[in-house]
Amino acid sequence: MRNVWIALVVILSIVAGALLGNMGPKIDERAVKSAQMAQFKDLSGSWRRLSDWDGSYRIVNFWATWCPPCLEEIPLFIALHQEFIDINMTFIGIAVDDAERVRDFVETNRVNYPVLVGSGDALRISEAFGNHRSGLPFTVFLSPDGTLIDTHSGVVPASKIREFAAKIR
Amino acid sequence: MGVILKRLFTLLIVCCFSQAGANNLSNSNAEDFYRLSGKLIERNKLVLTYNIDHCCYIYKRSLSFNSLVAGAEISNVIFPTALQHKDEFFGDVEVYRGKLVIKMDVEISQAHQKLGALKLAAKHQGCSDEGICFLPEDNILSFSFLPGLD
Repeated sequence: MRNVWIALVVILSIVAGALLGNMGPKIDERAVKSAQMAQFKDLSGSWRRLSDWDGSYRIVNFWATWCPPCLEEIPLFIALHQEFIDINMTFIGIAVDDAERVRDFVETNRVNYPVLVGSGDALRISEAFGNHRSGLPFTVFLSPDGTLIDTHSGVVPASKIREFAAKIR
Repeated sequence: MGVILKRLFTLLIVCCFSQAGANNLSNSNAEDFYRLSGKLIERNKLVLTYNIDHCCYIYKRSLSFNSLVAGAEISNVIFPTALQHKDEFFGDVEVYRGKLVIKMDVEISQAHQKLGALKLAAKHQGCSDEGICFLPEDNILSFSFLPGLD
């Protein structure tokens, strides 16, 4: 009987380990911190870092104008940025794209949150946050001290952002 | 108790396989989803083949091919019939899935008739059905015009 219990515990531990292994990104915290020090130009040509927004919860969205699902979710970000303007949370877009195309899109669609522009280097920064497939869109949720709270590959459901905002309120 | 152990063992096996599957997917990137190969047929006919993973597609309009060698030009690119795809933002677009075979001619100028090799840049961009798109990618392929040097 004792052996049976030992076998049960071993099997349940392995199962739990396997299930937990599927949850959440395996992230190097130092890489996450250094990624926030990387510099990108904003649309006025100034160099900015994600760490410039330290002190705020951040939803950082990696996107591009050539990426249809990225464009699909931006109206949601615009609306939610306005809706949650009174809480300590900001959206930041990092476009993996050409600056002129990004500027046209941002102006046409009246994007109301900061947008930075990078190229392949921006994609590498997203990889530091756990974008292992190097695909877009990819969204990162950061705490005020820059701790990685969560990531999302693909279009982010509005419910996920609302839950994030509700925890901040 | 034996039945419970058997069921737990089955669960263990299932979890191990699902973990392996999850790792395969998360470790894959665009290069794994779009595998390109090429073959020179005769001196001036080139056939490129994209093997596109079942998860993904390529936009026809993203495909472009350019010679990187002076004196050689790519012309008469023949694409197969594409599939229609509806993008919320780009509207009706043409895409390819599965095996994509593209034929093209290589034109060599009079002054470069002794050219021994061709270097080609092949550009593509695609997305996956789960709504993830990959950076436009340039592949460089090299071909030798001399038999046995490929």
